[in-house]
Formats: sequence, structure tokens, C-alpha cells
Amino acid sequence: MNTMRVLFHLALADFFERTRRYRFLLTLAAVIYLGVLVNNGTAFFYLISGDLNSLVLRFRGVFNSAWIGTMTVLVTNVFLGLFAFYLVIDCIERDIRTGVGQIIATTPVRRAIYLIGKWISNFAVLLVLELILAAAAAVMVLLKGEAALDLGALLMPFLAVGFPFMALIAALAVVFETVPWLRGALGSTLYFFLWIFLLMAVLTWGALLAVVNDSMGTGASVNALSDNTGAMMELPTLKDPMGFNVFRESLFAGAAAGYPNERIHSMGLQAGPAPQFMVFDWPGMNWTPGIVCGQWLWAAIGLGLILLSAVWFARFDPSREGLRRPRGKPEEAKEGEATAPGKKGPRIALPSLSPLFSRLAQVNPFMGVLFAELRMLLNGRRWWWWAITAGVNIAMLTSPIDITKTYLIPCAWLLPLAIWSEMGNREQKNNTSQMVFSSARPVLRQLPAAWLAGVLVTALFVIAGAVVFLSNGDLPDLAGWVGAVIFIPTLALALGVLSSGSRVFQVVYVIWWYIGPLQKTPGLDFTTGAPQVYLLAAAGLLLLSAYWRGRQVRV
Amino acid sequence: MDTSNSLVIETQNLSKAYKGVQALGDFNLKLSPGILGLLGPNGAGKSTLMRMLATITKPTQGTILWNGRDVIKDPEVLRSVLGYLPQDFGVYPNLSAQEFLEYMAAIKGMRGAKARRKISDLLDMVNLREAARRPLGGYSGGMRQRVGIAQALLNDPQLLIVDEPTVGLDPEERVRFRNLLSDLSGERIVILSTHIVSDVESTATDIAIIYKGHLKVRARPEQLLKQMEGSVWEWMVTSQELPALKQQFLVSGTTRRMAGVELRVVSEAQPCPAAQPVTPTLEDVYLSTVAQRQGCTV
Repeated sequence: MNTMRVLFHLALADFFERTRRYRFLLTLAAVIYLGVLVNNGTAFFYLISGDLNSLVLRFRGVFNSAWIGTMTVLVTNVFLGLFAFYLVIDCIERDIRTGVGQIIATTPVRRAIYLIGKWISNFAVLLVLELILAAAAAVMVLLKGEAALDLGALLMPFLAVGFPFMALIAALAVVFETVPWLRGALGSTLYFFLWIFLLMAVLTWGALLAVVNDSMGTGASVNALSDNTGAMMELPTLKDPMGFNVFRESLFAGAAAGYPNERIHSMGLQAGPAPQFMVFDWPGMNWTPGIVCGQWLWAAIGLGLILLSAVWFARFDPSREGLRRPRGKPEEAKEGEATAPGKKGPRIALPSLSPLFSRLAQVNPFMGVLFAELRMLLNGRRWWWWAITAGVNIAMLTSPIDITKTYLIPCAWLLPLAIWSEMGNREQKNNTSQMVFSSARPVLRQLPAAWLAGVLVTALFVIAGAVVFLSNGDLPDLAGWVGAVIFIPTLALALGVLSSGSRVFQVVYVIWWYIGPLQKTPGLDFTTGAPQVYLLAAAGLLLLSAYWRGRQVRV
Repeated sequence: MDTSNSLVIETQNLSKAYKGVQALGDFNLKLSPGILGLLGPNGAGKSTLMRMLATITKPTQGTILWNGRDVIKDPEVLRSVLGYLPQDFGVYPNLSAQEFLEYMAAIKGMRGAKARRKISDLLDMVNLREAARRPLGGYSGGMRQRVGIAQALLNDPQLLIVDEPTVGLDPEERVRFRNLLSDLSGERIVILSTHIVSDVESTATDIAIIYKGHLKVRARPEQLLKQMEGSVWEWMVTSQELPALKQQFLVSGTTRRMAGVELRVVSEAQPCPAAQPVTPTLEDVYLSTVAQRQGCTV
């Protein structure tokens, strides 16, 4: 078999399938906006000098090709490093969802080839985003007019740092998808922490380098700017995949050359209106094969991970992975049970076909729907998930109050992520929308019931928090608890309805949870303080959900 | 070179269990070129069997041999000559039929010019030439089914496995597909799983009835029909009598007539003096077999 041809078509079909969606246009718009933010000086990294005894100064480069290209790559590596993963992680899940996977499983295409094809497709999608950013960067160099356009200096950061990092992310998305339990909320959360860890590691590494250089009295050397001795002999050096430590020394040297009396020791991210900067002329990196190959080693590592994941990839075997199949009949796992001897097929007497079989539904239709929604939210959870939830709640009740508030309650606010992720999009995910939306009052009965079920389940899973606050007479935190219990499922419902999927909520919530309840950022911590803002937001989101669901129902 | 005479697929003591539920047990079957109509109630194990034959799922026990070679150990021996149409397959909605078939041809290992020729022929055959450039997302259920049929035939398969292939097709397309299957069957093995007994009746050279994961009947249609001779009866009843009679007998059909309801019953003995023996159909055979397995008297 012509492997290259197979790879080409695997990647091409997948690429077309993704880039022809309306959603992809929105992504492009968001990326172009990010590019504008970087290039108009709203978001970029700057250099910092100064110590405890002197004035802190901020430095940036002249807006030439090298500076704009490098800043575009560094900023987008940070942001796309997170969002690009969530953008492309659907490639194998889509083959399962559409059912194309089971046809692919019967073809001679090998697991590794299939996964590499998906990797190439992921990479191609991200490459489109990078190329758009590169084009936007070129336009900005011309618009700024501070220096002539140098395509080599502008594009080399993309080629050497941006592209390999995107290749690594594309690979990680494939690897996560080969493991069934990493495809959902758990995978989204784990990747977020992986990204945080990487970012912290990169920054810590840089800070450590600065401390070491300071202690040795070397600091940033002008030599780093131009020293190209032995470049051809250089071996590939593996630096951080985001590329900060590729540029760090050269940037510091560039600033040191312009301001030799300043001790430049760290980098910071500028986001928002730019303050006063000292401007230095940075001609760009001396790109050597060692640097470029070193960064592309990350792509090779990604490829290695993919080849490794081919070992456990189940190749759409329903008996080896929990495949969700929205269409058609249920899994044949029920085979052997469906036609029980007692149930006589041809001679069976018609059962009662009254549509209001449930006594509860007969008495109060809303309560009937509410209990059905509760059942759907809670059913199918594994025993260990219940055990962990119960364990965290017991720990909240038995631990000292400061430990409970600092660690356990924030932890409890993340545990039901998989449950919230189902809200508002279950109908599309399981292809039941035509049945549900054609039933009685889908907007005025089913949607509020789904929302209330989410609120009740949320309250149940963090109930120990309320008990702790109540027993300690901590009314402000109790009010925050009530606000969060209402706000989180409402947010989940709204984003589920609007996006017809769970990924958007997962990404938004995990980031928000990290910044708010975990880092206790004022104004963003929806679990403490004044709940009225979040209650008001919840009301708005609920109305928005109802409006959008109304549109879905009419369509 | 005609290799069709050497084509044999064989299952030996094939078993499959899903989390403790036995979906298929000790299943033995040997097939040569022709069409096998696979019948069985929902949950009988048909799809599990087909998934194992299609190399998607590995059996818990037993082997599958393709021309004497072990498919479990080396699925590639079968995959290059296999065409598979699952019951609930999907497509990429943003690709056109042409692009989707090009994609499937590539992953089936077909070369460019040959693939393009074959795709063109198949688009004509499934009557999708005019819609070939439109996104699949805008296709009707029947049109998608025809795309599925086309992809299953792309590599000119020696083993063709089709699960409910005529679902969603209009009567004309259904007849076209039946004829196509009959034309194909001379030189390859076709396994046709369906609940539409008339599809099997008009095409199958062999019939297998599966019940609770076991092969209960395997015979040629004429043999099965002959066994049923004298066991199918028809007579006229009133609408009021019908419910009680349905409880009493295995009813394989009712037809409204001016004089009442014509009742068709499968029964070894004459159900009543007015009942007249009639020619059995495969539907009678199927109902009779399944009903016996469910403990009903016939």
C-alpha cells in the first residue's frame, strides 16, 4: 500500500471536514484578533530590569520584522498552547461519532498510519492559524513602518519555534484521544494542568537562569547577540517547547547592547494599554541548525508519542473502548438479553400505552421531567467517582476550616465537571434532539427541569461546604456557595445549548475555576463574596439558553 | 484469474462476551461464494458476528479463517478484500460524495487512476452522479445509504458484509440493490443481515437464523420452505375473534378483506376446520423458528 497516499488522503479529508465548518471561521476570526492585539502593541512580552534598590524599567524592541515575528510566536504559543489543543482534539471522537471509524476499522490502514494521518490533519489546521498570524505580522511591520520588512527574520520564529510547538500540540491531542477516558472532561482538565505546568516550568527555568547568571556575574552578554562561532557544528539542543528559552538570551543581549548599564533579568507579559517602554534595536536571532533542529525535536517527540499510543489505540473495537454511538440501535452488548424467553414475540399482548405511565408525571408533569433529568445526570457514574465525591465531602466536614476553604472546597467545585458538561448538549450528542424537541414544552418544561436538576445535583455534591459554612456562622461564604450552586450549572447549560457540545464549557470553566476559586482572584471567584453578580449573570444566561433552545426547537 | 472458487470464510467455535454477557457462543459457519441471508431477532448476535468477520472486534474465543489463514492473528489478509456496510454508519458531512469515496479508496489502498475510475462507475451505479459534488450533510438518509453501499464496493471485495443495507432506500432503489447483490454474488461471498425477510427471500442462496448467540438453522431457502409445507394455514375470521386467535396461534400475517380478516397462521396441526394449507414463505419459516426457540408452541 502506498503509505504516503493513505496519509495524504487521511489528513486531507479530515482537514476539509474541519475547515469547512462555520466554527472554523470563528476560530480564524479569534486568531486574527489575537494577531492584531500582539502587533498593535496590546499584548507582547517585554524585558524587565532593576532590583530592589533601583527603579524598575521595561524594555521592548523596535517594531521590526524580527521583534514582531518573535512576539507573535511567543504570545500565540502561550495562548494557542492551551486553546489549539481543545480546537483539534475532536478528530478521533468524530470518527466514532459519525460512524466512519467502524468502516475505517475494516480497511488495511494500520493504527499508526491512521493516527499519524490525524496528527498531520491536526497540524495542518494549526498551521493555517500560524500562517494567518504570520501574514498579519507582515502587514503590521509594514503598517508600523519602523523598519523594512525582512521576511526571513519575520518567518524564522514561526518556522523554528511556532510550527514545531503546534506539531507537538497536534500530537498530544491525538494521544489524548486514543485513551477513551481522556476524551472527555477529565482529559480537558488534565491538559489544562499540563499547560499550566509547562508555563510554570518555562518561567521558573528562565528565572533560575537569571539567578544563576546574576550570581556568576555574567548577565546578558552582547556576545550572545552575534556569537555564531561553531554554529555549523552545533548539536540540536532541546529547549522548552514554547520557545522562551530559545529567544531569552538573545533578547536580553539585544537590550543589554542598547542599555549596557541596566541589569535585565526577566520577561513579563504586557496585556492592555502599553506603558512607557525603553526601546532597543533587536536584529533577531542568529538561527543555527542546532536551534532549529532542537525545537523540531519536540515534533519528533510528538510523533514518538503517537507511535506509542498506537499500541493501546483500540481501532474502534466497541468491546475494547466505551464507544458512544448516537445513531442507530443500542450496543449489541445487550445481545442475548433482548429476547428473553418469557417475552413472546408474535403473541405478546399489547401493554398499556398510556403516555403518562409514571404516577409522578401524572400528578405534576414538571416533576416527572425533573426526576428524569436527575436520573440522566446521575446514572452511569462509576463507583470510584461516587467514592471520591463522598470522600471529599467527608474530608470537608472533618478537616480544619482553613484547609477546607483553601483546598477541599475548590477541589469539590471541579469534581462534577463531567456531569455539568452534559448539560444543554445531551440531545445533540445522543442524537435525541428530534424526539426531545418534538415533545411537550421543550423550552418551558424540559429546559428548566434540566437546569434545576443541574442545580440540585451541584448542591448535593458540595453539600458539605454549606454545612461547614453554616456551622461556622460564615454567612458571606454560604451566600457565595449558593451563588456558585446556581451559577455553575447555569453556565454549563448555556454554553452547552449555545455550542451544542461540552468542550467550550470545559475549557471556559476549568480556566475560570483555576483563576477564580483556586487562585482566589477578586471578582472572578464565583464561590465567595457577593453572589448577586453571579446570580444576575445566571438569570441572563438562563434566558439566553431558553432563547437559543427556542431557535433550535423551531429549526 | 478466477479465484472465486477458492474463497472460503470459516468460523470455528467463535464466542464473544461483553462484560459477562455472552453475545455469541460456539459459532461454527463455513461460507463459499453466494449470498448468506442472516436472520435473527434483535440482540441475537448478528452484528457481533459481522463485526468479528469484519475484523473490527476480536472474539473472546475461537478462530476465523479466510481461505485457511487465521484472520484473528493477521487481519490484513482479509481487510484488503473486504467490503463492509455497517447498519448505522456515518459520513463526514462537510465532504462531498466524490471526496468521501476518494478518501475511502485511499485508505483501502487503491491507486489514483483505478480509484477514480471505480468511483465514477459506482456513482453511476448508485445513482448519485448529479449529487456527487454536494456536501454529504445535505443528503437524505437514502442517499447516504447509497454512498455507504458505494464505499463497500470500492475495492471490488471478495467478502462483502452488509448490515441492513436497504434501510432508508425507496422501493426502486431497494430493487436495484437486490439485483446488484445477486449480480455480485456469483464470484464473491456476500453476508446480508436484515430484518426485511423479503430482501433475503429474493437474493439469498443460503439462510442462517441466529438466536441468542447460537446458529439455529442453516439451509438453502428451498429446503427451509419444503420443511414448512403443510404448516401454514389461512382462513377468514371476524375482527372480534382476532385478539383471541393471536393469543392462541402464531400469526404470521393478517389481511383485511371485505368479508373480514384473512388470518395466516403457522401451525403443525390444522388450527380449525376452515383453515386451508397455503404455500409457506421465508417469513413463516423465520417466525416459526424464532417462536419455537422462545418456547411457544407451533
